[in-house]
Amino acid sequence: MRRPKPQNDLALERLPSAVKLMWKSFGQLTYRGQRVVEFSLNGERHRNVEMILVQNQRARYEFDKGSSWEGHIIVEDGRSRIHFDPAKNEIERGPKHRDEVIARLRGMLSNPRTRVTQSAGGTVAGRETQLVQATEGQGNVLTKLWIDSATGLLLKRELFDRVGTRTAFFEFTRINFRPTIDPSEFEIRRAGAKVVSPVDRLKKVAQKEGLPAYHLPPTSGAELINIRPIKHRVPALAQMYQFKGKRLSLFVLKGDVNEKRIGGLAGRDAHVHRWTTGGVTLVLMGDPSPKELEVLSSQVRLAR
Amino acid sequence: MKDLHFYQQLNDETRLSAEEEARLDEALEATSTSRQLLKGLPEEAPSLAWRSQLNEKLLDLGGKPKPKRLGWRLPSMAAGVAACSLALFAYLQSPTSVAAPDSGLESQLVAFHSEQNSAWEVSAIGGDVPELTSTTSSDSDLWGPSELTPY
Repeated sequence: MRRPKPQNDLALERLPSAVKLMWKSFGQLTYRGQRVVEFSLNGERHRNVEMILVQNQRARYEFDKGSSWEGHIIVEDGRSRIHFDPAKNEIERGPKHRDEVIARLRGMLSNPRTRVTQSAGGTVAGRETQLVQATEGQGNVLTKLWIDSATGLLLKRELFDRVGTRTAFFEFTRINFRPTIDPSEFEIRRAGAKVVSPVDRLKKVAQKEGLPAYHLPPTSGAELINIRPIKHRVPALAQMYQFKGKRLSLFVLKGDVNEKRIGGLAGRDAHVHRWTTGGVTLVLMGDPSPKELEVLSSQVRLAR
Repeated sequence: MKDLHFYQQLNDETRLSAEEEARLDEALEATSTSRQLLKGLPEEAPSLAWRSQLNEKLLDLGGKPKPKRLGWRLPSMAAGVAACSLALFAYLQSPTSVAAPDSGLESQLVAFHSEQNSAWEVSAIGGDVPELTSTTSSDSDLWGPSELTPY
């Protein structure tokens, strides 16, 4: 007897053809291209021009002159993500990024509360596209995707906040599906560069901010992808993690915060769990359920 | 006239003498007896004219109702407000190990989480904002600017 398909698989079957083609082609395409990327951080708008080379599971990103990250190079070798920072002369190895983004997009589109429509999207980087629009129950747009009609490559994406403001986007301006590739393009070899892990960086940033380096160790199933201090009156530090295709932030703060108020501000976008330990307040915020956040909170440790 | 004075006393909630209290009890008793008697009568809607006349009589008898005097309540209310202000002042001044909830920080955390999420969705670099770092490597200029864009 055949087992019934899970809800998510059924939802994926109902998705438009362009989305199905995008899933099918992910990790199968080879191309070299250039895209413009914009997003906000701390209220500042950042704009980068990324030069991308992708060969199936492997990818290389460089940043053009004038970009906020000019000179940085990132390589994904299919197992991990290697980031070269020229200013610090450091090479950091972290978890893969592309797979996680596509998994999150899959989760959003297959959510039964999300309405997904498809229409003709015009041309992007000279390629015919299908425009896929995802809206939440009330009709507010969550994201717009322009998918290459022939290959399924996502050529343009826009994200919106609750009031319809475009918060982030990328758009390919050039694309070549028959590039010449040198195998060394998926390696980073830099003599004299210090190899660091995300936890090394966390300890360094925490020390600078005068905060204990609390983190979620790899045994918790969460993978650290980003660390940043928060500019505020009280010392505060933010870490972002990938966790089973979901994303969450861990905040370490000298001041206190009201969990209910944060929950109210986050709305349906994220769950929140707050607790105190060792003279600091810790907050977990993100996609995992309140129960998952509570379990994760019990696994937070000081980095060694 | 005596009735009017008695009514005034009741309205002002002034203390009654023993004699007046007995009179009030008697009146209340009479009311409950009358109520019981009336219950036994067949129901009949009173005419509007009769109700209007009754209202006029009541107004003539009682005069306009006076606004309730605050009297002794004023000093106790003032004392309550003063006590609350003092408690709030003491709370704000007291040293605590963890600062009081900071609504500015709360909204900043939510905004941070949301911005980081969006940045990671569209960019290879995510929210990894470059720090302002002065390079020491002599050949760093071969790789890019000696100072990265601050934020």
